[in-house]
Amino acid sequence: MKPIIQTKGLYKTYKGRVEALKNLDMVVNKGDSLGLLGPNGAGKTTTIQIILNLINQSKGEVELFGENIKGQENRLLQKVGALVGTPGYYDKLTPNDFLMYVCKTHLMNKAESQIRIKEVLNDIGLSEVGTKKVGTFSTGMKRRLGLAQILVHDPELIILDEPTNGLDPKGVREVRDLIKNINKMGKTIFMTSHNLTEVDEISSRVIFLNHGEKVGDEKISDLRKELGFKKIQVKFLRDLNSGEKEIIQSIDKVKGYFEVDNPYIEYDGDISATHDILKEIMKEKLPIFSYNPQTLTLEDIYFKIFGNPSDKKELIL
Amino acid sequence: MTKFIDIVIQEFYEVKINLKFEFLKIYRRNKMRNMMIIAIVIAELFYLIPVLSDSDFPEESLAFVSNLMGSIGLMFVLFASFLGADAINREHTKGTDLLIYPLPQRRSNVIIAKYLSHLVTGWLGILLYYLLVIFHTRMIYGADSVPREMATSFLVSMIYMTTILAFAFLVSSLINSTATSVTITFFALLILIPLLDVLLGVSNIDTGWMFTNYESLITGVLRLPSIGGGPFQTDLSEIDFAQSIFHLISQTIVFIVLFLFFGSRKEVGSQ
Repeated sequence: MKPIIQTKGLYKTYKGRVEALKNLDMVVNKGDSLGLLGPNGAGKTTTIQIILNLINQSKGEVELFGENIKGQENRLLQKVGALVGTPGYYDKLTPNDFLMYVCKTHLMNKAESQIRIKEVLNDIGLSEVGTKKVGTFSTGMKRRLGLAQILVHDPELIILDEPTNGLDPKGVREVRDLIKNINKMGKTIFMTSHNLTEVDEISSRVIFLNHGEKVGDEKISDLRKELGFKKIQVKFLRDLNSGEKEIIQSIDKVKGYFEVDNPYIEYDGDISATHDILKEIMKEKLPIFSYNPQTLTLEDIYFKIFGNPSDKKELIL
Repeated sequence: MTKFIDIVIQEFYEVKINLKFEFLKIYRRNKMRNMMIIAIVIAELFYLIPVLSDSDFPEESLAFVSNLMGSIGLMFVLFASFLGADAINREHTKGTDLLIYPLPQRRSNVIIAKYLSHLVTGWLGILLYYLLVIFHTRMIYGADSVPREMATSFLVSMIYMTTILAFAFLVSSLINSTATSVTITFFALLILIPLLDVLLGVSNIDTGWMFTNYESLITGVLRLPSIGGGPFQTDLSEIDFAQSIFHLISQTIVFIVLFLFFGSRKEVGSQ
């Protein structure tokens, strides 16, 4: 099956010789939900802009749906819905006005457009305000309108660049749920986000970019296995003395006991080890208050790759 | 051949849908209404001043028409500055370029539609201005008093509007800030270009070809006393109408090519 997105040896150099992308090879397959991650200036937005033909690459090729995008951008982009950055909206227009225009750019007829606009506004919870001016909308409503715009023509590929940027926690939750629903519809999703929890929730695969170079491309589940440091957050009724700490350190499969902000035990082996370790702690009558085995989050993985800023670690991959 | 026809049809379709969208925006942003207000205010001002000051109207209808038409230059400057000078860069300033440019359409078609819709709005303003001039002339001097050359003058005004708006679009495509482009267009048309004209004239450099000078053609074809500077100020009998129109159209084409080139640059959200 042909990939939905494929980049081959993609380079982008901005004026002043800033290399935003260096030799990016990337494949997004049908049904993938892929997150593009990396620190600021890593080249995430540049990648999306090149794929959407908003800027030109300096070198390399982009294929959409198995065809080189050069010269057939408009035809190929018919099957794409994209929300780039934090766009402005036409305040004097209504969602119906704007979505009708979007439908027409996707060659939909009037009757078909009207039905789709109604459906989509209903799906994203804007059905009541279809005829109200966008200028009266909250930031969250505008972002939902942005999502309506990318869904209205029922695209095969959805590209999202920082979809929850600038939203309050309620708005973030609403938009994130909407994207998860879109994913469930079987659409291919390619997104960038600074919010690692978001990518963790939505994406099944991640590509890590750093200084314009790809430094990782794996399924999140595989990354957890590969990079997995396993930890158990623990709380004791009182501070442990050095003898008690040594007891914990000596328990089989325990790699270490760390008393940082939230004390934790790092262990080796599979999940059953957590049970064995707890049994040993109880047997030694240590004053345990809470015991909480943690799963590795994407944030943990991210900081393993890019280093925790507070630790001033360097990139390890 | 069929493929070529398909491409042409697609290009026309893109211009058509964007034209409708631009008209909707112009209407909702009250740009159309504002242009009409400018036309009415300028035309009525020169009619009402003699009325309010209790002065007599000129004896000759031609002198009356001359008075009213003399202020049309100001209308062109206002139309170009407030209608066209923020048309392209406004999408970038407001961030709406991030909404429309990822859509499957050629950027140049969006800009062409933008230009055409603004041009039609400008033409409607000009039409209203001429209708008011004709209305007042007929009211005061009778039905036969309106010079027949008003139709030619109107045509020249439409062509001049095409050129001056293309110039404003060019400024808009070169400058990112809307406030700056509006200010630059306004002062360029009102002061800077006429000043340059004078300076070059002092240095014995021919400036007759500069588009702003052809504004005099609007009154020139009416055989009215010319306003402002330009090639027709000294001897109206020497008007080469065809050549003047050719010069205007040529400069319009240059401006259009340039604003399409600069306006279509791929810079959306770039670093």
